[in-house]
Order: sequence, then C-alpha cells, then structure tokens
Amino acid sequence: MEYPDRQKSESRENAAIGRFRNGETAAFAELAELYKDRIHRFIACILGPDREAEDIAQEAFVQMYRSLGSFKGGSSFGTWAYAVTRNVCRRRLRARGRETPLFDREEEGPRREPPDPAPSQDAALESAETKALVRSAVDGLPPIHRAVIFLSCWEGLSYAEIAEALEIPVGTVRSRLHNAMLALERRLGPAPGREKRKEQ
Amino acid sequence: MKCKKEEAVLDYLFGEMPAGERAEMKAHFAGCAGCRRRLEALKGIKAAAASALEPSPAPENFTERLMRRLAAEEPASAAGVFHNLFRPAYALAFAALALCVLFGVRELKEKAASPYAPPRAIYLTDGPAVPGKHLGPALSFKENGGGKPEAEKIITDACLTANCGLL
Repeated sequence: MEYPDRQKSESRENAAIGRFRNGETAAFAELAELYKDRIHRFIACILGPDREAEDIAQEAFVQMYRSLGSFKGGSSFGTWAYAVTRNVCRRRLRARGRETPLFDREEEGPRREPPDPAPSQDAALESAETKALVRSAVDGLPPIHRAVIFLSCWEGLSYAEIAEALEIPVGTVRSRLHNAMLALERRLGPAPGREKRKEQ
Repeated sequence: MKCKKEEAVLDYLFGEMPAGERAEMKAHFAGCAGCRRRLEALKGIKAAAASALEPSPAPENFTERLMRRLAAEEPASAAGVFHNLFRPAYALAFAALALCVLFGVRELKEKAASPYAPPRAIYLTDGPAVPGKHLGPALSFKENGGGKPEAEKIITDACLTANCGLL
C-alpha cells in the first residue's frame, strides 16, 4: 500500500467532513475508505494479532461517526481518528479485564530471534524475507513502541500529533521513539554505523 | 568517543528541529563521521519499520458493512431517546416539570390579568366554618381609602373545602 499524498488526502478528508456536516451521511464512507487500512494496522500495533480486530475497527468508526459533528478541526482528522481508536482499544482491554498499563509499559515482549542469518539494515529492505524479518522484530516490541513507530515512521506524524493521538506528553513521545528505535536496532542486529564505530 | 550531538540525530531525522538548529546539525554532519553514520543507520531502521508496518488491506467489504451498521443503528438510537421518556423515573420527572410549567404559566396569567390583585390571607378554623359568621366579613375586601383592596381574606376549613368547594 502506498501512503497517500498527505495534502491531497487532507483536502479529500476536509471535503468529506464538510459534506457530512451538511447532512450527507454517506460522505462518511469516503473517510472510512481512506482510513480503514491504517486503523486496522494501528489496532494491530496496540493489541497485536486480535480476533476481534475488525469489530474493534468497526466500533472505532462508529464512534467517529457519532462524534464527527463535535470534531473541531484543531488537529487533522487522522490524529483525531487515531485518538478515538486508541480509546476504543483501551475500553476493549478494560472490558476484557486487562488493565491499561499495556499502553504505558515499555518493557519488551519475548524476544523473537530473527531468521538466520541476521542481515544488516543496509540489506535490500524491499525483499519479502527482509520485510518478514523486520515485521517479526517490530511485532516483538511493546505495544507503545509499535504505536509510536507506526505513527512516526509510516504515518509521518509530528511528535505533537503523536502526543495528541496517544494522549501522552511530547517529551514522552520523543523518549519512546528513541527507545523504540534502539530496541528495533537491537532486534535487527547492529546497525552499520555502530559496527563501523566498534571496528575503529 | 560518543559525540554529544548524537542524541539530536533522531530529532533531525524526524524533522523535529527548528530551522536554525537544523542548519547547524547539517553542518555538523559534514565534520562528524560518527553522527553521519548514526543518521544513516537510523534512516535504515526508519525505512525498515515503515515498510514492516505498512497497512495491510482491511477485510473485504469493511466499509459497506460499517455503513449498513450505521444505518441500522441510526433509527434505533432515535427510538431509544423516545423510549427513555416512558421509563418511570423519566416519566415522573417529565410530569413534575409539566406541572411546574402549567402552574407557573397560570400564576403569570393571573398576575398579568389583575395587577391590583390583593395578597391573599387564608385563615383556617379548627371547627366547621359557619358561613353566616365567617364568610360575610371574610370574603369582603377592606377598602383602604383609595379603593385598592388591602387583602383578600379567606376563611376555610376541611368542611368548607369539601362542601362548598371554596378552595
């Protein structure tokens, strides 16, 4: 999936929101189409593989539909949509009797050893094997690291936008992103920069 | 030795640096091989992570199912509001509110219709009221010279209320 041009995407979003506010409820389908894949990925970042992922995504969109009228537009629709989704995930975890520290803990999950041999990051990242290797490394990160990495590396949100989506301070976003990148680096093996420095 | 600026490489990579600091950092990369390598390494990790977290397609017909669900929930939620009105607690509160409004309006109408209406004084007797003894003076206005009634006196008891419909 190619990331849509952010400016184009935002103008489409704003047009759809405008039509929705003027009573054209079907305009919401356009917003859902734009965000359904990203919301699913975000849910997977927070909850990991989950049988109820689709239901949670549906619930998140239902929440967005209900409260879009009160969306003030102070942030982008995407940032707001992630914040709504995060809250839905949080409620679902509470309902399952799992408390929310899952969102806050930074401890890493069980380390999944990458397939042998561990390539360095400058290997061809486009290959399916490498992608699987990196995905396995990312999956082994704590949910909060996965969420921060998704929102920054793929979605391209700023620290401030991530802070709003995850309801954490900007300073925390920075430190979590830093920790997440280091953790990922450890899981993927030494980065070329590090290797060379050790050699010197 | 680790360069002091290495910590800032991440902010540079994610574009979280004011323009001045960014230019300074760019100049720093030219002279610091360690930071340059760190930048390249982080760029690789960022690209790898972005590639690994690329959104996979949502289940088929997701949007159609969502829109059907929303359409089904819409009338249900409207009916829910209507249904709530008939819950005992809501009904009681609604009836109390309606009574308050009704009496409020009546009172206002009375005041508006007779701006000189006298204040009422109600005297209750503990025995049966005798119309000849009590009602004559009780229901007459005492004029205070200017023709404006001073007070409207009503004498009543349970007997009068029940039999004469005074109140």
